[in-house]
Amino acid sequence: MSTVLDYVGRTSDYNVFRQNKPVGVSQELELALFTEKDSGQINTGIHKLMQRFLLLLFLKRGSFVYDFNRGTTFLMDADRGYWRTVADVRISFAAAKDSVRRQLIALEQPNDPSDEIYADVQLNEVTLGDGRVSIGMTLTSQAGSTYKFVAPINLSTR
Amino acid sequence: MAVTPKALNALNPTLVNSAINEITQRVQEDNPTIDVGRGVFYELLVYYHAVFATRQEQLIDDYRRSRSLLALEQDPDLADVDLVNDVLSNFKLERKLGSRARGTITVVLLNDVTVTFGVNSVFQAKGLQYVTTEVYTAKSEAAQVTAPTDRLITPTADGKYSFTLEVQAANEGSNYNLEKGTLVVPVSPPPAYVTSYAITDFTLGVAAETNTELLARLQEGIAAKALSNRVNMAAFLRSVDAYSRIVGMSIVGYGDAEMLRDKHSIFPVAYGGRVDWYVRSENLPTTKQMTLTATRLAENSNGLPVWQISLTRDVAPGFYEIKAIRPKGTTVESGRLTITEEIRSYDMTTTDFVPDVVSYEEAAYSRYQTAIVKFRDATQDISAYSVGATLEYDIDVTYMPLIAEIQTTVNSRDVRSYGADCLVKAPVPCFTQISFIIYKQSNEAIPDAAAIQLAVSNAVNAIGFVGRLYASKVQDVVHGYLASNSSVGSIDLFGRIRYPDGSTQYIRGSDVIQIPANPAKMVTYRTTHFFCRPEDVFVNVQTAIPEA
Repeated sequence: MSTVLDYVGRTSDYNVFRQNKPVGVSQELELALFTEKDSGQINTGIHKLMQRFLLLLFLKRGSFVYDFNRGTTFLMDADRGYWRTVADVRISFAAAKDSVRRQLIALEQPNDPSDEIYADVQLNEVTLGDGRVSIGMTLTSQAGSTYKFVAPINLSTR
Repeated sequence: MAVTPKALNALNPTLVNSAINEITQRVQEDNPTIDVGRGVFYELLVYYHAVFATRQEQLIDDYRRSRSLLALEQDPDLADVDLVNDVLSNFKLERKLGSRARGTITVVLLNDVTVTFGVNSVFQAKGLQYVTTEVYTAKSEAAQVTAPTDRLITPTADGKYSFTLEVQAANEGSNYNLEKGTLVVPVSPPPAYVTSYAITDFTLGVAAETNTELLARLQEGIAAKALSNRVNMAAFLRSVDAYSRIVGMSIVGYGDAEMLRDKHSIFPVAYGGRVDWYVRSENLPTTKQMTLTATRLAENSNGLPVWQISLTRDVAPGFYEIKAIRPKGTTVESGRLTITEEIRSYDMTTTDFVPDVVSYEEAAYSRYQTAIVKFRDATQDISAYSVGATLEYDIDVTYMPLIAEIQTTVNSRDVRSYGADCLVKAPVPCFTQISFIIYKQSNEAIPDAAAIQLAVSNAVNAIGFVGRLYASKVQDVVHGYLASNSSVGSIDLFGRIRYPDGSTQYIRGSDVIQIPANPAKMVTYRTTHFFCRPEDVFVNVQTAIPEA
């Protein structure tokens, strides 16, 4: 369990992709600004990097009106009906991954800790069926496995 | 809303990026532990806040600028109608409201059966819709005609039956104005229906004044409304509500070569004190049908008796031409009689003030113009009418409305200049016909010919007193209606100028037609206008361009 002390000396982001299980354990992300149990969460470290990665991956390029180059074509491929087999999803992901990598590098700050610097992402599994696509990914930061996982903490309401 | 907020995706990108940078920096300074420049805070909070803030700033800026005349003139669409009205009301300028065209149509029937058109019965002409505003019931017995909207079915000279009713345009706009004789067809034809057409010109259709048009009148709003210099005179005329929609005017006075009336002295010099005021009150001349009494003359033409009609100065003041003479009651499609002679004159008799006019040329197209028209009639039994006998005829005359009314206004003692007289005239007409070929690819749709005709006609009629009609203007208008690979070519511009002395000159060109400079006959660019009806624009379409 992380505490406020774990956040000292770090910058935090608002937690919207919630991950309750320990790091390294596969789980489905829950999208929520707040829940009945808390009034929002902040995160940092690899979790923050994961959010930054997913926001870019799932942002359709051109939809961010005043920054047309932000985002990828990943979901645009889905919209166009390009995804018919697992291989199609993997091809889309490969193109999008490279685009995200370049955008994350552009967003890097000189004093970013190594667990917030993108190193690689692997697409582990793709499942198509029942009108949905499940994608399992492993995100690796520059810290590799030598980082301390800092879990999101709840915000207090003022 | 006085100023319409811009769409969120139509803001100035530079302003949005500036706002993003400012908000990022401010929030970061207040909250050093938050990663504001990227991630969730940036994409979901900072970004949208910046977009909304920029829109608000631009809205405030637009509102502030829309109170400025300079900014409004640079960008007339900046502010909404109400705000521009507010600003220009400070200069005593009022926006002219739009109105719907109205007119009377004749419905021709095969039999005299009772026919009813309900309210909002739809008629179509040239792709535009017109509706009835009352219930019209046409009846064959005069005794049955009781209500104001009951119509009596009367037999026509060619063995059919007809009645009239009034229709109104479905929308405002000058494109709904129709010329007399235009087919106006009911969407649901009644029993025994043969045809239906406009028996009067459809007039009064105008669109509400746009910001651009209103701002164009700004100088007149500021100017003193008096018969002084040309801007003042235009401002005066348009300040009178009835004359506010005048299309164009040209004022010829002292020192102008076209001014002949100030040279009436025995000395060959201009003394000044005379003004010829050419006023185009409508886009196109109006055709008026009236019934006049003709007298049979002793002379014959081609073995047929010649009849004579007198057009006094009040029947169609400033008229241009007599378009048709028909035996009374005959329908338009039954043809017209042959005019053998037309003698123009003038009538200055009055106890009130009149301008100084000494010839029919000077009086041409003014309210003082008169005419005697002779024509032959093969439809009557010669033996039934001796010399001196009278008979009524329907006569169609084209004229520019309001000429007499304006003349009366400027003649009044409290308006007219103490040192000059004003003779109000309709512009010398150059009746224009335009033809061209649209070359298209086979895979392109056929362009909308009716819309092109109307647009070209409007563009030509909007040319002021400049005396030149260039083919490029036609090309410019037509290209707005063409597919990307279509082109327009073989443009033929043709004009017929009717001089004040009654003579005719034809001008023709493929690049430009130009009003000749003939000031001795009062024909120059200052006195002459192009008139082009939509029907006089001939659109030919050829599939000629090979596909790529």
